[in-house]
Amino acid sequence: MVKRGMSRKLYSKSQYAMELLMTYGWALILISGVLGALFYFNIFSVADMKPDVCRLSPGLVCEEVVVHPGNFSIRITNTIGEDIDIITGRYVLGLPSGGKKIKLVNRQTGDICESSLGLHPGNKFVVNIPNGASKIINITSCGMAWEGFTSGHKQEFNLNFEYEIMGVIFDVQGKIFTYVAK
Amino acid sequence: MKTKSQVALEYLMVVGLAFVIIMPMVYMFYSYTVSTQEEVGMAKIHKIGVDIVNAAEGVYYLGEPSRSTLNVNMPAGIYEVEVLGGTGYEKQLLVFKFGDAGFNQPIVIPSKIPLNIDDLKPEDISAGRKVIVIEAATDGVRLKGQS
Repeated sequence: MVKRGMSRKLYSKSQYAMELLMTYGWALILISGVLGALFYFNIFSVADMKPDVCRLSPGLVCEEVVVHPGNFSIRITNTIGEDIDIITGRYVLGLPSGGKKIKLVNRQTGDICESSLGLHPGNKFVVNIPNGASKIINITSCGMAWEGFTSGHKQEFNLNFEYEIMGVIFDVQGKIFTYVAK
Repeated sequence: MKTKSQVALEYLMVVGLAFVIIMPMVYMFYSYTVSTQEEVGMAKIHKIGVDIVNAAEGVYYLGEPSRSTLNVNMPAGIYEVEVLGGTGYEKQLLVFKFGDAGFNQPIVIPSKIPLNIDDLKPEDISAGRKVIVIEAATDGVRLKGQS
């Protein structure tokens, strides 16, 4: 009598377990699949959820920025109140090695995408932006070190460049957080 | 005993799930707030600079002894203010230098008239409520703090 009761108890326990798995197993498989797909499409990537940032200096408005591994372009509107020249390349003491350029630095990896200087020292390469106007600046040659620009994810960059206004040169340290396009 | 352990486990599961959801949100909110503070600080300085230049232009064209005062709330982070003007230019630039050791950004406001900031002391541009006096002088417009 006791033995029969025990076996019934054991049998019902395993039956419960089996029925539970049968009932909820499908749901578990479905949920795992959905979660896997969400992970695959970076839905749970916290960094990618943060809003895009493109900030230069008050008066210099970053309207749009597109970063690719190997090149980037930025559209800047001048609201300073005077015409400005954005310096995309400048030789210092006639040497290209000391030259000033537009420089996009990946804050995590330290990789740099910068404008290349021309072959003729002494020149200053500028993009003139009249007051109230917008211009697109394209930097197409990032040099060799662009391995850290992982495409498909949002990344944080510093954008450093110089601009000239009324004969005075100022440095800009901009901040960019955006997708690196594929 | 069995029920107690089940309750404890379920409690842990619910609290753990809530923790997993809340922590990334807190991180996102914090990092976004820090970057926004910097941006708001720069925008405030730009607004103060534009107000100063507008008031200075007003008193300049009215002539001596015109005078105007501005009540401003200076944000933290300004470490220098200077007036620059390139050779051959009649206009000048009022430049606030904003930032810290790792980050600095000049905030440039062009002015159509000559400005003189010799009387502007470091405490006049430190954080907090300040009164900036703008008065017309023979050599342009003089800016100074009012204590």
